[in-house]
Amino acid sequence: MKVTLRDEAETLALAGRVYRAMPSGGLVFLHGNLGAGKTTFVRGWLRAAGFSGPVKSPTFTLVEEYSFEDRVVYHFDLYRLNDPEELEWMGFRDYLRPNAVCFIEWPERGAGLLPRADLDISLEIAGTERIADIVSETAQGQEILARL
Amino acid sequence: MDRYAIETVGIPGIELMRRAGASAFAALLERWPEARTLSAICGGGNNGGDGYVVARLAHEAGMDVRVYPVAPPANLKGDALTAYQDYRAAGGEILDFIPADFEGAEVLVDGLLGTGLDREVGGLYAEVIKAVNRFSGRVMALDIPSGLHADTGSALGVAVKADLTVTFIGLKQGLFTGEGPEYAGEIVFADLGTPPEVRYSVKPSAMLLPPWERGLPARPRYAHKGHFGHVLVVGGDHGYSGAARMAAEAAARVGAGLISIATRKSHADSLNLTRPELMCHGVETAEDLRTPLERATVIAVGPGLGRSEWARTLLGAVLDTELPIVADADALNLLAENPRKRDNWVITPHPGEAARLLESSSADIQKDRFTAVRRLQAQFGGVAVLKGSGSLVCGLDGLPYVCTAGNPGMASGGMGDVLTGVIAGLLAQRLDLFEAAALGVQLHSAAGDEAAKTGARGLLACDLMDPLRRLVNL
Repeated sequence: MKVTLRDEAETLALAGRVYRAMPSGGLVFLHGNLGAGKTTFVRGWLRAAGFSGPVKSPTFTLVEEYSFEDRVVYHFDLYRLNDPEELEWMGFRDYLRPNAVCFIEWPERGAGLLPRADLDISLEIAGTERIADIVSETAQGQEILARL
Repeated sequence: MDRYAIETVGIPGIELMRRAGASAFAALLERWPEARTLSAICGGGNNGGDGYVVARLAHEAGMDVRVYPVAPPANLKGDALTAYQDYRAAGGEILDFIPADFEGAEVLVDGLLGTGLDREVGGLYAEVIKAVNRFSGRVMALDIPSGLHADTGSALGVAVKADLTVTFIGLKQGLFTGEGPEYAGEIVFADLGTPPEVRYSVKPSAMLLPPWERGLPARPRYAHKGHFGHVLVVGGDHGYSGAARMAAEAAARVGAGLISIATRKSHADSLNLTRPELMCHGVETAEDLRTPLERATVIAVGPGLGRSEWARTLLGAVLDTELPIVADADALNLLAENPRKRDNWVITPHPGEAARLLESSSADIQKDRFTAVRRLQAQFGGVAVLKGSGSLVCGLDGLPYVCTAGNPGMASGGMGDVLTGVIAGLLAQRLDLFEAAALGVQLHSAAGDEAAKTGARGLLACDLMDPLRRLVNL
């Protein structure tokens, strides 16, 4: 599924649609260069879920956590990962629970150790616009895409 | 955290104390394997108890050990008393006087005062600390140098200057900023075998910025200069054009797409002679600044700006835009006269500028830099960077990040202008405000360290340009 996003508001809106189409757990990859809107997307998703606090890019912490009544959301940025093995050391598998949503920026840094994503989202910069390309790699992902 | 480890995890206090002493002694042997003589100064609390453990291990290892109890052992209680008794049971001796100097030992172990200290050190303790600082051998501090405030990093009157500090269970923020690094020397962390949940049992009061190990992501092949933003540097009054030029060049070297400088007409034409990539605009009025402002995506204001009517006019025009801003130097001094809050700016004061912004003194800012940076952020919005040894970066969440890179060679003119340019250059490449500020501080310090490899003295701001370019592409 390809969508053209004319501005930041449209990135936020798309994230809100994804939130509403998703069950309480899932794995979402976010690809895109600097400024493509990866963190903006997560912010939009969290806003739609009712979170109103500051959403910080996990540049230095590797992961930021947001707790909701029915689920926990983990936002990863693997850009500074030196080796996919580091995911094992941080107990990455423990994050992939039924009622947890994991957003992963720079999933290519964890190649080989990450399972397949329900949604694999690429954000490409095209002038002031962004082109979002969403594909799914699991049955659950197909259902989400169908609801979108 | 200690209490959590003892009460919730169930590690007995004396066990933690023995592990603390053992990890400190191991660190000592690793640094100074030749040492045969050791003196330990032990206070009356748990820090003294840690000292007795180190003394016992050194004694058992066959070293010549002297222990000076600054508090009478008869007054010891709990785990510290047990550690003392262990030392004596192993055949260890104590000396019942405090010498005027500690010469004769190769290594001195500071187990005098620990992390609970919150008032000025006086009397005998102060005298002992002064004697430690006259000592010509190596000094190892246990947990924290005696006399250093664990939260603020300032000396409480007087503090031990250590070569090595072995700190236990959790890192203490005071070791990393202001005077802290000077007193702590090399810092070794020992978790004492406590599980990570011990460190999650308290909310962190500050975070360490990791070392700079990876540059910005590779550029897409189809990229053109418009992708990487347009930085406008506003500043450079008569006599200070170099500041604007250095900020501009730094922004260019970290990868901003286009750089303009808005400066005095009289030197606008000559400012880019040796760096023709920079576009220079002579501006004397707010009207002159209009077109450059329309083309910019990020503004760096302040380097060499001065405080004249010209400076005030230009700053006013800059603040009227919606663009992200990096404000430094005289922009901050003018801001102190007319405080305002803004969400999309980074302010980068040194302690003197911070003092003017917070109507305080530099000495007070330095006494508690963590509080100062949080107040700067709360009062002025956006992201605040408090420069100086152990630079601090604080964003919307109020959690300060400490940069431990950098060196005293960077205390020279123009370094601040370069930092302003670096942060603006990163903002132009679409990093968010906090990332640009924090990565900018790291990158700037790492470049300073690389440039200082040939010597800290004589390091010039422009020496950072090549390292900046290399590191941003790492």
